[in-house]
Amino acid sequence: MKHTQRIQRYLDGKLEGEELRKFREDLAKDPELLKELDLYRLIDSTLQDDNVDRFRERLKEAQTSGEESENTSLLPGKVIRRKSRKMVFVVVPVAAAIISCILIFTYGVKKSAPELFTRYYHPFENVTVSRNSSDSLLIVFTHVVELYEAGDFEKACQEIPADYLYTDLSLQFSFYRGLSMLGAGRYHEATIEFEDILGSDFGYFHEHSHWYSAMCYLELNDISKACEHLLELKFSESVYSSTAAKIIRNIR
Amino acid sequence: MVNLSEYDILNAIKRSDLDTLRYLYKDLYPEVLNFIISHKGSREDAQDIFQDAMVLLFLKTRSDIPELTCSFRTYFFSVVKFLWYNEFRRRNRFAASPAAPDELPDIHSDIFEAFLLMEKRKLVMQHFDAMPPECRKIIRMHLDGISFERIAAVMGYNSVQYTRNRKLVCKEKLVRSIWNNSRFKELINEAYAENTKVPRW
Repeated sequence: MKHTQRIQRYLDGKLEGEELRKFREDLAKDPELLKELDLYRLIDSTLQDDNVDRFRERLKEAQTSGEESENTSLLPGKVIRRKSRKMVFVVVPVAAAIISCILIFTYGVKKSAPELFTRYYHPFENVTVSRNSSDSLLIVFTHVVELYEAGDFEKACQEIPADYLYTDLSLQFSFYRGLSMLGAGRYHEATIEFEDILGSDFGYFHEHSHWYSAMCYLELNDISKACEHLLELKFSESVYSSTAAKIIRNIR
Repeated sequence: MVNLSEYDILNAIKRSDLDTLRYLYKDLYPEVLNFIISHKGSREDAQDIFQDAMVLLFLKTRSDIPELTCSFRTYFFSVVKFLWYNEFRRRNRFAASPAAPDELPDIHSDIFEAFLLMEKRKLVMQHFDAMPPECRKIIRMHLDGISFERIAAVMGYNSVQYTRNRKLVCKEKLVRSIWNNSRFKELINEAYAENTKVPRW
């Protein structure tokens, strides 16, 4: 716990020049420092992400109301199980075998880059913006995020202020500009936004930018560029690392 | 009611679809309860494990929807067994291992990452919730991107510099309390990770 100030300044994007270079050097050779930095990142990402709390609430709601709901099932084979215990021993393994074959056939074969894009691309969901803010810039940013979430990608791009690069939320705007362009099918332009973010010192959006850059290049069928970003993710501790590895394995 | 495919179920978990969660609870919970009770657990343990298993799948589906080569039921119960094994082992560190259940499928290496993340997130929230309200408020506002000027005004502090320092102190306090937590050490310890990547029953 001897690096607190440096780590905080690094995460706030306040380390520059020699100080930044030294920090990165230390990071490469000091596993303790890396663990500490990871903890800071974990705290920030956990506190900024209330989706899990919302999911737990939904689950509690489901648990309390579930007992009153009708006695029907959504699970494959389960309806039959209720009617006949014997049948389950026949139907479930057969169904499982058929499903496994379908899954192996569908997902086990190599796929083209655009096919992998179709399979793995999902709009960004990890919103970290305060919805109740009265700060004018945050209000604009919140609006942009809402447009993006509603799937109105072109409008989201238009609503980003022209001078966004000079605001306190430049990286956030840049990221959502990239995401919106990607959503609107403007893949080349989106990659430029993500490259800008990757060129900055502030690391929070880096992994997401690598991921969405890779998605753009998959759709553009530029496998080598896509793999550059996927490899970065594969060897990082990113949430995308296992998926990135899977895509690299399955790319045709 | 239309039957859902494995992909549809995982996708519904990802979307937190209430109807699907309700049916999953109704269909799966009795078996979870049965398993936990017959493996030295309680009704409360069964509730916690069911919830954790669902959260783990939620975390997993956020990055990508796993490609299942088994039924959702089999996948879900392998997660339940894995979670109960870990919980049991944690509680009985110095006691004998639980009676060896069935062999665990490989599927667990896939969910292990999500498990570690879930456990670490739980710790962060526990320690954060234990902090003084003032600290929680400053940290939250800062993470929401509110400027120090505004935080100072909201908190009634006299200077921006004081606000910065308060935030630093609060954050450091939080980091220190998590860092010194034995469970956290366990989770980040490479040896622990190596040994549990392929859990032994």
